[in-house]
Parts: sequence; C-alpha cells; structure tokens
Amino acid sequence: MHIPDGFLDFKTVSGTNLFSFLTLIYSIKRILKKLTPERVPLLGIFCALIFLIQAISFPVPYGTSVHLSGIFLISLILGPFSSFFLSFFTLLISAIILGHGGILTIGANSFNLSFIGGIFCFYLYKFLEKILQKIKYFLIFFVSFLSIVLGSIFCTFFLSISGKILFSKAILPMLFSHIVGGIVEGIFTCSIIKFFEKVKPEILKIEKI
Amino acid sequence: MKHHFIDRFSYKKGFLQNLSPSLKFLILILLLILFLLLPKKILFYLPFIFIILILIFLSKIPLKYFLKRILIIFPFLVIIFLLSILSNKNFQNFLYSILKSILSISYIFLFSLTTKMDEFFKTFEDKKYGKLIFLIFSFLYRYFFILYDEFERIKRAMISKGKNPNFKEYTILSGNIFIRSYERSERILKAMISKGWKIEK
Repeated sequence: MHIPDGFLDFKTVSGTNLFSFLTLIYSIKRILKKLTPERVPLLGIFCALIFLIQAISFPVPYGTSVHLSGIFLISLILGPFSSFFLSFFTLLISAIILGHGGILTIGANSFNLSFIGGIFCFYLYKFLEKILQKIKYFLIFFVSFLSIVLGSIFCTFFLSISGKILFSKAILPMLFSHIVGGIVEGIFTCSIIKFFEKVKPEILKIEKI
Repeated sequence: MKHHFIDRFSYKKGFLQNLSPSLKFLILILLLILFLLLPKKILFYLPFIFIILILIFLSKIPLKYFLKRILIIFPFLVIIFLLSILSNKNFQNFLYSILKSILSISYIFLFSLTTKMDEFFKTFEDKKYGKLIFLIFSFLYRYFFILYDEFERIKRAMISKGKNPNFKEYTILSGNIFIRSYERSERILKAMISKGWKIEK
C-alpha cells in the first residue's frame, strides 16, 4: 500500500528518505557504470511497462480485482538496482501525477516496494536458488509473495512508529488484505517467467545490474 | 484511443503556469515539510486552505475537477482510518493527519496540473545523474500511452476471438506486452542510433 503524505512523522520521513536516496544514488552509479546503448531504451520502456502493470486491474475470483507491483519480476529481468531505480521513479511519477502515495513519503514507500521487492527479494532468491535448485518455480512464487507481504509489514511498522496505529492490532488485518495480492503476484511472476522460457528465452539473459 | 490527459491545464495562461517548474517544486517541497511540522490547531490550517482556493482560481482550474481528483486519496484514508479505529488511537490526532494529507495532495495536484511535465524533468538535465532521469522520463512519457493502446488492442482481439478475459488470459496478455516491449526497445535503439544518438560518459 502506498502511504500518503501527512501520516508519517518527521523522524520517520527523514530516516526513510535518507536511506532511499542513498540507495538511489548507489543504484544510479551502478547502472551508469555498466550502461550500454542497448540498455537505455530497455530501461525506458520497462519503466513505462511497470507503470502499465500497476495501472491494470487483474480480475481475481469472487468478483474483486487487484493491481500488481511487478517489481520483483523486473528485478529478475533487468537486475536489482535497475529495478529499484525504475520503481522509485514510477513511485515519484505516480505520486506527482496520479496522487498515489506522497512526495515526502517516497522514502518509506520506496523502501516497502522498491527496496524489498527489487533488491532484498532478488538477493534472497539468488541465495535460495543455489540451495534449492529443484523447486525453482515454487521459489519464484514464494519470494514474489514474500515481497508483497514484507512490504505490508513494513508499511504497518512505519505507520506505527509515527504513532498513527498500533503495530500489534493493525498487523493482522494488514497481512490478510495483502495475502491475496501476494498470491496473485506470485502466480503472475511465476507464469510470466515460464512464458518467457517457452517463447523468448533471451529476455531472461539480459545482464542483471 | 481514450486517454486521460495529464497536463491539459498546464497550457492555459494562468498565474502558476507562468512560474518556473523548479521554483514551484522547491516551494511544494518546503510546503510539504511545513505541513509535517504544523501544530495540531485548526487556526494554522485555515490560511493554507484559503491560499489554495485563490491559487485554483488564479490558475484557471475548474474547482469541480480539482475536487474530483482529490477524491482519489479517500480509499487510502479509509484503510488507515479502519486500522486506526482497531488500534484505539487518539481520534483527534487522526483527524489532523487526514487534514494534513488532503492539504498535501491538493498542493501536489496544483503543481502537477499547472506544470508541463516534460519541462519539469528537463530542469534535471544539467544536474548530476539528471541526464539518465530525463531520458527515462522521456521514454515513460512517450511509450506509456503506446503500450496502453497495445494492451487494449490485444485485449480487444482476445475478446473478439471468444476468450473470456480471466486471470490466465491476463497473464498471457501481460507476457505478450513484455515481449513486444522488448522487441520495441530493439527497434527504438536502431532508430536512435540511425539519428546520431550516442552514449555520453
């Protein structure tokens, strides 16, 4: 969930923004170091793609719909730091133009979504993949699910240290509301990766930065 | 093609439209920090509500449209409101948070409605790392609508062939969009290089 402006206090806003901006600068440095001409339009068009995925409502059984984040998927295709950079950027644009999230809360939101989904989950997946190679697709599902659920836990955490809600009381409803989204995200990521392997395997061979 | 054009009011001739985008953004950030630190007394908030009404009038934005845009924040407010009720926190405290949130989003919308987004991102161009940001933004701005159209076209084709757009079909659709985007990026690269574009280190 995107936290709007006005709900986080000064210490949370400054702490999370400092962390996110440092990660952003490091990510840009990493991207620029290995930037090839092929990568520039790829980054640009995948940025538009993240925006598109987040704009589409996926139909879910029982008549509801969810929207996906796709950040872990992008990190599997382009690499963790590119994924962080692109999703930070889409968060900024959606905060300014669409009003989803906020400008000062971009630090917290990008930690919940971009850092957890893009960087943390990517390295977690790489670590687990080495040990459990046989259940690769289940791992993709699981880590993708985890990226959404962990994001919701941190969202509750940031809101609770700002004194708006109590962590112990709010965590269960927050988790329940994100479990469906997490499962959908997991199935989506897993089936898209399978689809790529069948139809266009070179998309998975792009250098991961 | 049916798009909600994001910057249609930025071409009108109004007070905020004439200010430079970077100055407006700086003032916006300062205002947002100020809202964060405002004490919990209604008197401090009234001037800002008054100022925004004047600015909306001076920038020739229809008030009804503006209020409609602000409604987008309410689902988030309802979720946090429910969580706050569960936590038995101070209700008055929460109301001030809502007020801060609505004020912040109003000023953000005022900025985004009166600014040409390409001009705003152009200000980053001469900054450190700004070139990459400007480049990515230009891609996003150009190709989002193209990709959206492509998505709509594939969906229409699927429905007309008798496929019910359920979750499985949507994943295949998204996979197709990914592959088409990847192929499109290869074509764009060729077009860029043939027009003399080079990477600047």
